[in-house]
Amino acid sequence: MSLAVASSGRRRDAGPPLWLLLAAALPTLLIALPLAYVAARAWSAGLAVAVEEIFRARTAELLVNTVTLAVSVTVLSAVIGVATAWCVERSDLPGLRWWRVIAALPLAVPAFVASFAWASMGAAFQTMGGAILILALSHYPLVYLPVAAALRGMDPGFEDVSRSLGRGPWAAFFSATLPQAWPALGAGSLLVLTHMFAEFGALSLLRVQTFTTAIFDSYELEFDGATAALQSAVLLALALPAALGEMRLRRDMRFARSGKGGRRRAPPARLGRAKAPVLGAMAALAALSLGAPLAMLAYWLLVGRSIGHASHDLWPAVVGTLGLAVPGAIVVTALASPLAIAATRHRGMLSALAEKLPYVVHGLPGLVVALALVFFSIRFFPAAYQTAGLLFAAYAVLFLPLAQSALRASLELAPARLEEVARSLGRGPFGAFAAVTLPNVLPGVGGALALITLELARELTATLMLAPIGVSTLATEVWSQANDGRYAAAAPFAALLVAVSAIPVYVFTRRSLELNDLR
Amino acid sequence: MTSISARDVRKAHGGNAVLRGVDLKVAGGEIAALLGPSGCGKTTLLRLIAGFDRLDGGEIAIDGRVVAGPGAHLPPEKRRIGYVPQEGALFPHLTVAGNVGFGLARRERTKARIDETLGLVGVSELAGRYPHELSGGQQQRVALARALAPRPGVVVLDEPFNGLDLDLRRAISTEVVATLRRTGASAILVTHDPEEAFASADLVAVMHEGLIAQQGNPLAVYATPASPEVARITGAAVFLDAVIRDGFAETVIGAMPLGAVAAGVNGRANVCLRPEQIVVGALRGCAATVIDRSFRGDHCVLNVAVGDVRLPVRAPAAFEADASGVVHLEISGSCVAFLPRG
Repeated sequence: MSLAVASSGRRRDAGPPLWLLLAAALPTLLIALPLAYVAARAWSAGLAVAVEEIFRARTAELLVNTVTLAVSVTVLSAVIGVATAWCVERSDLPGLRWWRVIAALPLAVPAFVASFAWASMGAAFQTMGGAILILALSHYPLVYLPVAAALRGMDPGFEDVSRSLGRGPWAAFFSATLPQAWPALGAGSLLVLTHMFAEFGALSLLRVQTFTTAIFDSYELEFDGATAALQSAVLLALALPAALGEMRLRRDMRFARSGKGGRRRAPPARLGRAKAPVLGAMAALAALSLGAPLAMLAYWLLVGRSIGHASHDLWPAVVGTLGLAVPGAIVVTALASPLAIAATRHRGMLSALAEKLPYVVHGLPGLVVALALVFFSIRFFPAAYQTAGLLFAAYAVLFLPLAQSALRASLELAPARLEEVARSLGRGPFGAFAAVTLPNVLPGVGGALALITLELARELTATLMLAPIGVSTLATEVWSQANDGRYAAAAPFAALLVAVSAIPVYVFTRRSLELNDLR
Repeated sequence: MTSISARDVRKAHGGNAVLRGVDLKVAGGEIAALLGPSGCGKTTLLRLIAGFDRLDGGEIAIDGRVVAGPGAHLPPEKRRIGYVPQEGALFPHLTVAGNVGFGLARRERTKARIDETLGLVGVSELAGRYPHELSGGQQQRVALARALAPRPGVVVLDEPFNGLDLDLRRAISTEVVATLRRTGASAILVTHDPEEAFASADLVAVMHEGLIAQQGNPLAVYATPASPEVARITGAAVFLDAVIRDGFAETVIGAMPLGAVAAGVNGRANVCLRPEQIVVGALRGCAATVIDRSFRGDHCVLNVAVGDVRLPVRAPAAFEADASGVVHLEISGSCVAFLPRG
């Protein structure tokens, strides 16, 4: 019976109407631009140039650096993330409730802010090894959160059964528990991997040469050059498969969760004599991932005050940040709406596309998106170059997935059935939408707007490349001051940015820990 | 008094034929039940009648006026059909009064009219509440009131009692039917529960694989199912091999008259009867050996063997066979024969 309810509750129309198709075409087109750019630019460079560029020693060096960094950070994040998740969800660690939140908080410190803090401590951290450590410390929550949610939602019966069949606690964990958490672990790890391929700000501050920093340098050196485009092509070849892999695993994750396992919680494992060392390790993790960057920020704030850096530069950056983030969020939300509507209300090709698109998109590095938009605007819309409009287009491509999932959640509060009832009671299609769907959806849309605004406020790469001349934001100020070694000057901007970031991180953490959709 | 008729209605979803030529006639003031397993197309038919989807072929008329047909589609807001979806689907942002007043024109949206409608379903005291503050049964009553407020000629109900537990379900469905009869509206109730269909409807239409397999008054459908599928959908059924001779079916447990079957049919057939037609324990009748017995609360089910035929039969809850394990089966009433197909 419940099955019948569920299936007809999801009943969707056969196909989307024409206006929706047209409205969804725009974001789809925007997303195709980076791919078109890479293809077009590589084509015009010619095969010989392309081959020469791709097989240069420099490209090989960048490839080794990029892959070494991305894989090491991913593995380290996965180890820290799984260990933390287990301690928090499955052991009798004292102060669980606090650790659960503290472990997610490093997300509130954007990677480039953490990198600035560590870099300002000494040049020792501006190495490959330093970068791996620093980035793993700031990215492990992306593994910790989904794995913790999976461990919490898991039916403890599997572990019980494998214990009863003669496995010890460790063997049971590896043979029964971990395989079930695998989709969550895999998806989280691949998310870290895609982030690493796309990371630019942190790596440039830590002076590690990867594809992103090289692309940025080529772009600065030779505007619209073939080198940047071909390096982008190699980067996309790395990033897109990682993103697609994540998409597959997320699908499994949803499947693995749909079972109605017993809601019984497993009894926590007793740490016993290991309690003190585990507590020590958790404290050390918090100190390194959160304490160290924040302490350095505080230090530079004090130094800055003592050497008389006024905070009068702060205000234009705040205005600049809001001036880009607020309209940007509105544009992103507006563009994401048709996709979200198609995905929740309709069946068919478009809906399938709308559901898959976000996963492809978050594999696109911000740098490549920005380059593509520069390329196309200069060729076809010179008037758009150096305007906020171009930046908003980049935001739309990069933050579409976030907007889509936020909108989707609120659209599901107003199922199509409500509109049908309104129609049967005499309202026309528009009247039914205005009287029933809109009032139920608006609060959620407001929340989505706020969340996207905050995420845009901490965006660095696209803003750095595309913001109109003379406009600075908190993020671009942190980067440019820190990049020039003016750490004290960067600190106030960074502190404000961390304060602002805490809000979306809180929302994300709560959502993840409540076992809701993780996107 | 509004009549509804559907003629040769066809509908496919993505190449899958869901309705394959459905004919249905509901007279004014009549309550019809669409009974069938999930996936048989009953909800699809309801949605076509209400106007939420467009049909692919055939036509639907309300009071003789074609509202859906080739090239014609009257939008749902113009059909004046009240709709009660699964689990109510009350508007979460409106109070009970707001929900009930939703379908009324502005000048009709008076407190008196809303109270009158809420009174009809007996929930006047809930006017100021929001849907999340109501129990499941209250939500269903309000959903019905909302559908009835504009005084529609037809009300369609899509498995409206699904979310309720069994006791409440029976009580609410009785209430809803009584209310519908008071208003004089015609109604179509979609359900997969035969008991609910028999208890509420004047006309039961059994749907199977996109067609209406049989329609008629509840007793006729139950007693003389038109096919083995209809027999199964409408309740428990016992099937036995038989030889038909002169209007009688001869089975291993005895001979019984055929209900509705064309005269002059003779030969091998499969007959269907209802479990309550086999009475156990009498001293007369066909001898059977009890294989096992399972207690079911108000009755028990015996698995018995007659020759090499095994069949389940009902017996009183406390029934115990004597030491020999032999019981006697007696059959009553008539049965329905299904001739081998082909």
